[in-house]
This record gives sequence, C-alpha cells and structure tokens, in this order.
Amino acid sequence: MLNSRISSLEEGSLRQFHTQRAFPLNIHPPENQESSRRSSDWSISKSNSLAFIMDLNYKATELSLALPGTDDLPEMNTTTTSTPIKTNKRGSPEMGPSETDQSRSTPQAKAQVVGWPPVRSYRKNALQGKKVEPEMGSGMFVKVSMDGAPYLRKIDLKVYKSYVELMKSLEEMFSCIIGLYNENEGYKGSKHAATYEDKDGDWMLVGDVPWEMFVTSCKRLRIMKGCEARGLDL
Amino acid sequence: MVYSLPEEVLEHVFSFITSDKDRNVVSVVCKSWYEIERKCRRKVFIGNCYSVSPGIMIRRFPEVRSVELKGKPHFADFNLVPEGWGGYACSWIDKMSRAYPWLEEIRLKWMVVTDESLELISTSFKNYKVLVLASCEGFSTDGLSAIAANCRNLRELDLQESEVMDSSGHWLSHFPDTFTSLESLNISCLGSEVSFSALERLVARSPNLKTLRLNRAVPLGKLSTLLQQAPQLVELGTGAYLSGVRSDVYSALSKAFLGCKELKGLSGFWDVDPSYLPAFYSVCSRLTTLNLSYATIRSPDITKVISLCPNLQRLLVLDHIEDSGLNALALSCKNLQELRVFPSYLYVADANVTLTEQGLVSVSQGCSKLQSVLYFCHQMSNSALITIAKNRPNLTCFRLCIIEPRTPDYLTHEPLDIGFGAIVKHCKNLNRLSLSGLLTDRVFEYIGTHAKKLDMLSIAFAGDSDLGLHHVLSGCEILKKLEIRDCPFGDTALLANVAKLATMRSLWMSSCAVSIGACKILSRKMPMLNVEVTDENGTLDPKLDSCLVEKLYVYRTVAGPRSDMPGYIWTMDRDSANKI
Repeated sequence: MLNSRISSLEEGSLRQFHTQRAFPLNIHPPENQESSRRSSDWSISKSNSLAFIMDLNYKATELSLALPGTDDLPEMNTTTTSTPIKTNKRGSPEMGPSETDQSRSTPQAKAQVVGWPPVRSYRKNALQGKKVEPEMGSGMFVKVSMDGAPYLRKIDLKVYKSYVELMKSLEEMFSCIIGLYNENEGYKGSKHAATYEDKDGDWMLVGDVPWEMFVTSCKRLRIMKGCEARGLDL
Repeated sequence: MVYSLPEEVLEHVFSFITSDKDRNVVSVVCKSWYEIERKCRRKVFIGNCYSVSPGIMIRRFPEVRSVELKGKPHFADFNLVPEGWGGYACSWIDKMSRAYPWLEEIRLKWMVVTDESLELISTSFKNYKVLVLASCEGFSTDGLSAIAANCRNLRELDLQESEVMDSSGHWLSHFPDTFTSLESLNISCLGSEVSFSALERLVARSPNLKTLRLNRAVPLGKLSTLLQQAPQLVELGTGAYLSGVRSDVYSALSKAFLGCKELKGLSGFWDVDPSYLPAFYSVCSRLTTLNLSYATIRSPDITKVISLCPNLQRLLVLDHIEDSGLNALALSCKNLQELRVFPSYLYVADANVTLTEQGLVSVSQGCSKLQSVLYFCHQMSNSALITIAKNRPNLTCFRLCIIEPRTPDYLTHEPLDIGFGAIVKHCKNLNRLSLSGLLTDRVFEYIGTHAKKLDMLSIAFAGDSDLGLHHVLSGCEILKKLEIRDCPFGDTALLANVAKLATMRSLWMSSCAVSIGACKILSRKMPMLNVEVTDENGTLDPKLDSCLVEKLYVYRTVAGPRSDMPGYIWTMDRDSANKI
C-alpha cells in the first residue's frame, strides 16, 4: 500500500493531494469587519491543519466564497454574519501565543495569527513598551537580600512613604532588627545594616539621601550582618 | 608545456579577492587552486550553521581569521520557530578556540550563545577584535564582563537586537583602564541601565570610537556629555530622547551635536519629545542614515527633519510618516536608496494614520536611486504596484506587507497578481521579494517566468494549489532561500522539484499541506538534504504517511542529520522518521 501511495505521488497524481486538501478560498472584499475577520480565522484554523482535514463539517460552516472556476471545492453559501463574536471565539482556542497589545484599546477584538504581521519581537516589545509609562503606577519592585538567608525577597518601594516604614517592613520580613543609622547613636541595638545598590552600581548606606531620591535610585537592597558593616560600629 | 604560477604568486593574487562568492568560484577552478585558496582563506561565511560541521570547516580552512554563522531560520524572528530549536554556537566556539588561536572576528546571527562560550572567546584568541551577536540569545552580562575584561584589543562589540539577560550594569566597568582600542559599541538592546560613569570613562579613552549605539536607559541629559567626549563619532544611537522641559539639557545637547562634524548616521530615538528634535538639526545635512523607527513623531516634526536631510540614503521610519511625509521625502531626498516603513499599530489600521500605497508610489517616483523597500500598509492596488514597477526598475529588494492576510486590490477587489507580476517583470535585478495580499497561482507563474535573479522569496497566505510552488521551484534559477507559511502547497510540487532543493540553502514551509509520506520520499531521494519536521502538538504519527506536518525545514548539508534537535523535531532519515 505504501508503494502504491509512493508511485501515485511520484507520478504527480493529484488524487491523493485532493483528498487531503481542504482549503477554502476566501475571496471577499474587505467591505465589512466580519469578512476581514473571517479571513484571519481561516488562517488560524489552518495552522491546525490536521483537525481541519478531519472535520469536514467545520468546512461546511465556514463562510466564504469559492474562486470561480475551481470545481474541486464544494459550493458554499455566502452569508453575511451578524454574529462576529461567534467567529472570533471559534478562532481563539486554536491560536498560538497571542500577541495582544495590552496597553492599547482597540474597538473590536481582532483575531491574531502567530507571527503575523512579520514584525520582530524586539520591535513589538519596543513599541508596546512605549505605551506603558515606566515606573508609574506599576510599582517599583526591588530585590532584598539578607546575608545568610537562603531566599531573596522582593518589595515594592512605592508602597512606603518613608525610611521608617521601609525599615519596619524589612524587619518584619526578615525577623531582625535593623533600625536606622544615626551619627550620634549608631545602630541602636541592631546587628544589621541596610544597604542599597544605586544607579551607578555603588553600594550605599540606606538613609543618607532624601526618601524620594532614594526611591528613584535604589536598584536593590542588601541587609548586611553587623560584622561586615565596617565603620558602623555595631 | 606545463604552465603554472608559483604558489606564492597565486596566493598573493588571491589575497585581493575578498568576497566569499568569488573565493568559492576560485576554489573550483582546479585542484591546485583549491589547495592554495583554502590555505589562505581568511574569512568564512556560513549561512546555515547546520550545513557543515566545525570540523569540516577547520580541516578545509586552517588560517581563518573571521567567521560568520547564521543559525535559526529567518522566520525565527516572528515566533514561528519554537524554543529549543537549536542554533547553538557552543560546539563551533569550542572547536574554533582550539583550532584558530589567531581568530579575530566572530559574527553570529540567530544563534544561542552561552556565557561559557563568551568566556572561552575572551580567553582563547590572542588578538581578538570583533564580536557581533545579532538576534542572539542565551547569554547574560556576565559573559560580556568576560569579553570586556580579557579582550585587550577589542575593536567592535555589537549586540544588535539580542536578548541579553541583564544581571548588572557593571560589566562595562570590566574594560580595563588601559583599554583604548574600541571602535564600535552597540548596546541598544540592553534592557537595564549600564553604569554611566563607566560608559563615560570608556568613551573618553576611546579615540577611535566611530559607532556608539546606546540603550534606552541612557538619559538624554547624559548624551551631551558623551558626545563631547566623542565628537569624532560617525554613527550614533541615542537613548531615550526626552527629558522634561529642560532648557539646559537642550542647549547642551545642541552644542554637542554642533561639535559632531563626522556624524553620518543617527538611530535610537526611543520615546521622543519633539521639542528636542531641533537639537540635532545641525547634523542633518550630512546624514546618510536615519533610523526613526522607534519614534512616534508625526508631521510636521517628521517632515521638517526629512526636509533637512538632502543626503539621506537610508531611512527607517514608522507609518506615522504618512503619505504626506513620504511626499516630502520624495521631494527632498534624491539620493534615497533604502526605505523601511514599519507599522505602529500591528493589527488594526489606526484611523489617525494616513499611510496608503500613495506614499510608496510618490517615493518610487521622486527617488530615482531607490533600490530597497520594506513597506507595511493596509491597502494596495495593482495599479499602484504597476506604477512603482515602471518607475523603479532598479529595485533589488521589494518587501511588501499588507497587514491583513489575503487583502485584495482595494479598488478592483481582484487579486494582486498582476501588480506583483509587474514588479518581477520590470525589476530585472530583483534579488529579494516578500509577497502579501490576495494572490493566486498566477503570481507564482509570473515569478517563475521573470524573477530570474531572485535569491530569497517569502510567501504567506497565498496561492491556490501546488502549481504555485511548482512555478517558483522550477522557474527561479538561483533561488537560495524560500520561506512559506499558510499556503496550500504540498507533496506534488515538492516531489516534482527535489533536485532544486539541493541547490538552495533552505526551504521553510509551515501550515502548508505537506505530508509525512512526502517528507520520507524526499529524504530518501535526496540524502544530501536534512528534512526536519516539527511536531509541537505531539499529534504526529510518523507511521501514518498521510499525516500533515506543521512545520517543515529542509536544507542541504554535508554534515548529516544534526544531533541537537529537541524532542518535537523529527528527522526524515532514509527509511523512517527518527527522533533524537
């Protein structure tokens, strides 16, 4: 059986090809949104060609026009649908990773095909990134490490209004006493010092600069053990 | 009488032949030329890293100084190639590190590179100069630290559009203070900040720095500092191009640009504040390249900029330029050779953006040197395409993307066959073509008949039957790269043109109508091809010959089937389908 299949293919017979082929030709002017959405639905379902081949009923419900003169396609009715939502839903489970632009509101939910239009992800990310205001309303998460702790934590600096609030939260998180360094009193009764890495990559002591400046320049936090915090007299 | 030139003379003659194609031709003249040529070849370009093995390359070319490799298929750019597909640079870098102690340049595209490999590069080559990682992934700033720390003679570090895992901005500080040979630095793809002080010091001690492309995180306020340190720059990529309302930033920037007498190319322009645009007007008259494709500026700002750049040869821009901006371009930039217009909204036409086929027609009319076009739009007509073809028979690259698949001629509602037909008929030197819109088999007949110089063809959502594919494979004599998605092309055309596939670099077909059975036959008939079938869903039954394949990648190779395929790829190997 394999041999006959092979020879039929090699002879260029279209018989085998036709039984497998099930690609309705959609030719319709993009006069309304429904028809243009249909064409992209077609391509979504095409990408799962196996299911498509097997399920001829699916094909029968497809709304499309056949190309005049092609007689190997079944006649199809063209109906303008008034339920665009239905066609969208049928398309969506078969889609690959969708590439929705979250930050842009579109008038209608457009079915999206994987990898189309052919724009590099680098560019897509850059364009989408433009629409999102950096660091505003989306939190400012920084990593917090504590010497000796097996895991790091992340905190949102936007949540706090002052150093005091931050320190309190850190102390609770790591069950330790940090406190703020004070020129006169040193670290009152604490064995840890809070440091942070700023934009230039330098490690600074928490508390020197105004709170707002700290929030914008802090990249990550590190709670050092007392013995490592040189010059702090712990 | 046996006539032959001494080997040294031939070698000297060959040293003037630098293009790969010419070198390849030289090497097949006769056996002795082959031997002489291979021993003195300095540059190797391998368009598909799986077509040959590192061992074979090293055995044939022992004195190589520069290697360029490409890994994944082009459609990897558009998320069509799944994770873990391959393209690993590891084994290449490993073997080269042992075989080529004097290697100076490595250029990789669409490959997976690890930090370990970068470290190996940094320590293995005594005179290492150039590292280009374009659209690569798999490495972090730790690998870059190694390069910075160890490559004492580095000239070029270009991370064009790569995905870099940022662990810190410190890696720049690893360039030692004695390091002064940098000529080109492209870090535009880096997501997080680099240490600005390190960057500034680096720029200050690099008198030969000609190209500097910053990432978005470098604030505009700091740009003038850098420009003052490097007024000799020829190519500049800015960071974010906004800074609130700061007249001091503006005037410093303006002054800095005035000092840049050599600047010929500008890019970057992330997040543009139009009020800062005039700061670089002073360099516009010298600009040959302008990349505003990340800048959402519109008329009149964009039109003003363009009108100040009469020497522009290459323009990349968003569709915010609109037809009006393109009309201005056609009037002002008579030396334009390349135009790329990218979409700002990817799916639905923005009602506020009026970019139509008219813009492209204007440019084709006004810019007589136009050779290369990449154009995203929402509507096209046959008459426009015919006009463009007649205006610009000197086009060599025409890539049109009508965003909605299968869009017909918006005036006549017909397929765009005759429009593209005119393009291939008039543009006799066309070597690259990308199709879109509603297309029947007829367009492929035109392509097969006329596009004799076509090297690369990209097809999506087009054609009616195998005849379309057959026209292309049988007609396009020097076609090297063919990539197809979502077309009703299948077994018949493929099997009728098996010999053609051995003359090509690669064929990609996804969501088409090719069956497993045909893949097996192809593989059996053509042992010099690797026939790779992707089955991401796990639904493929390799014994069921009628099963359709999701993705097919066929390429010629002398290295046999590759051994690094992920589990979802089957290789058709002679008698059966194999998974590694």
